Amino acid sequence: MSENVQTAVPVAGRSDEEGIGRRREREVQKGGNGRAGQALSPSRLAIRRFRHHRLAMASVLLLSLLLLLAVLAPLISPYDPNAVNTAAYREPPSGAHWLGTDSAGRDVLSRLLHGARVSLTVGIAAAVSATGLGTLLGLIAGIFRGWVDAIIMRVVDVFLSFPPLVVILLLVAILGPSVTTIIVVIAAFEWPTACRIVRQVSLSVREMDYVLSARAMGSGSLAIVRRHMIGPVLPPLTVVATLLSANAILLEAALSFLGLGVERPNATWGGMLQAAQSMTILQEMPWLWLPPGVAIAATVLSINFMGDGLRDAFDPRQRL
Amino acid sequence: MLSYVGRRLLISVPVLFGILGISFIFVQMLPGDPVRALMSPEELATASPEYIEQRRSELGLDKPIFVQFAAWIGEVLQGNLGHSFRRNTPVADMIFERIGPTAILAITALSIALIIGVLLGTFAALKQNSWFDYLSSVTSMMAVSIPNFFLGLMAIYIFSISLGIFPTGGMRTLAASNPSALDRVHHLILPALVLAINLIGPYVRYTRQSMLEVIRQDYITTARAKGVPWMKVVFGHGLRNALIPLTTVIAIQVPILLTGLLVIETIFSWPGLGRLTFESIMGRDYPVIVAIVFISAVFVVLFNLLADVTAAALDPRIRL
Repeated sequence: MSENVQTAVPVAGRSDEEGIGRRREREVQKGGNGRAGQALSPSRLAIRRFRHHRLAMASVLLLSLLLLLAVLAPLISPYDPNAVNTAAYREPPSGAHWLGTDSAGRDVLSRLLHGARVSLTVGIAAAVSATGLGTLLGLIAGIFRGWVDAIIMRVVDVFLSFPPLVVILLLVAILGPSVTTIIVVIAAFEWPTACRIVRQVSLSVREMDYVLSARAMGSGSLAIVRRHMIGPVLPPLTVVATLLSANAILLEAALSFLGLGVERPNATWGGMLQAAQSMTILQEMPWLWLPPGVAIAATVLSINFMGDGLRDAFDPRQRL
Repeated sequence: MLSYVGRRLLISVPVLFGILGISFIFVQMLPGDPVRALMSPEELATASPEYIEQRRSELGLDKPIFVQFAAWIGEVLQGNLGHSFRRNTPVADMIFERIGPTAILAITALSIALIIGVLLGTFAALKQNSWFDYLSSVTSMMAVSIPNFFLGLMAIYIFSISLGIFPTGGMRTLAASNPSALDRVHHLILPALVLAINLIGPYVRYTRQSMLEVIRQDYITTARAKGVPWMKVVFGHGLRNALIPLTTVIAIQVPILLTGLLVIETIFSWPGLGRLTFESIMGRDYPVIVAIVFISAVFVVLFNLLADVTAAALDPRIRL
């Protein structure tokens, strides 16, 4: 509850608005969907709704912590993640190795921290590139319509028909595994979702009266995109980008798990789980596979909760 | 209805053509010389460069790329999907013998996911904003976030190793020469459940949303006012209509199902198409992987077509 009190301080600084702000806050909490908040801008209301989504806020905290750990991994890791030490073969967790050591005597905690770097890099980079490409093609389809739109939408259908992991495995097998290849290949097959959303929104915005009047006053297509389309497209796009990054992390983990991820001996969460395909490790050495598995699940779950919170914040009607 | 089916078919044709195009690009990208791959080692040792050139023109590989594409489409339409690098058998035969086990696993998992998902979604909608609603949405979010390979490993660890209730993999007890139906079901349960868990999330979400809309319709009120028992209203009048949009959701989920099959069949040594994909990737048997990618994409398109037509048949409003 203390968290609520803190966030209940109105974002607007003007003191005469404070009382109203508080009352609105309570209405938002009660699920009033901010109907009373006409004086507040939609984006401010969205931020407020997001802050009251407890799971989403907790997820943001967890993800920030994870990001920090990933960035600081080289500094805070107790050992070199790739240092082979035959003397410490599959040691259970102890004071020296908090999460034990693997079959090559490498420190599991250090590998876990470095694995976060790979997962987050792939997740963010693939989501940003897929969203970028999707937005570009979606806007082109939405503005030009007609046969340009028809062609782009059929291309979207084609790409959505391929089962993602299978086709990505094939391409990584041909092109050779590396972080860059994985990012490019994931982005190449994940952009259609973003493209569809952007096209849909830009098609409906196009019909709005204010866009019509802008056009009548002589605005070019580019100016209309910049001034009138980016705004409405942004909220759903943020949600899509979030969900795409969760997908990308899952895909990278699956690739590494199947042995076609990042080059060895680099630590990845999926690669660490690969060891558990051996029955002895699965049965007797849970410290080797439980931590990376929990790490992937927690990261993806947090991103999904964050996406859910964003969706509710931008469009409260969705929850009904 | 006929004109709707016609229009829908017309959209599928360019998509299928696009899938053929991308698959052909994959074939072109494959490493290795297809001429040499077809020759036995002894033949290769004695072959002169002229002979190799001659074989190349016999196979039509010296023709322009578009001619090769047309020839390739011709081959594919006749059911010729190329030859396996590792086993000198037609790829089509290899795939054909694996379809059965995959179909059994996929259909079982899909049925489990649908039954659980629809029930959870319905009750979540009836008890909107209750703790049950909240719990079911958090659980279904977890179900999509936990990577299926981690879930599979945990299932084996808990149910096969620790509790010893289910076998760790395979389709039947190998020692038994004539396994009973019960033995097959026993082997099927665990992989099917794990596969189902990844699919449940969206079913819960969409059933809930669709049910919330339906439950507010006038005919529901009428049925209640007539004195029809509440559960009969929910399942007889409500669910029947709420489930129509779900056909499309099932179709959209098919690529995810196929991806799940690849991972789950690998972990549980299930002798299906997914396991074949994994084996082919490990053995760098590219023609097999390309064929599987191609067939999966075509299957996805056909399944989507079927789902759209079914939905249109059930709900005349969609045909417009």
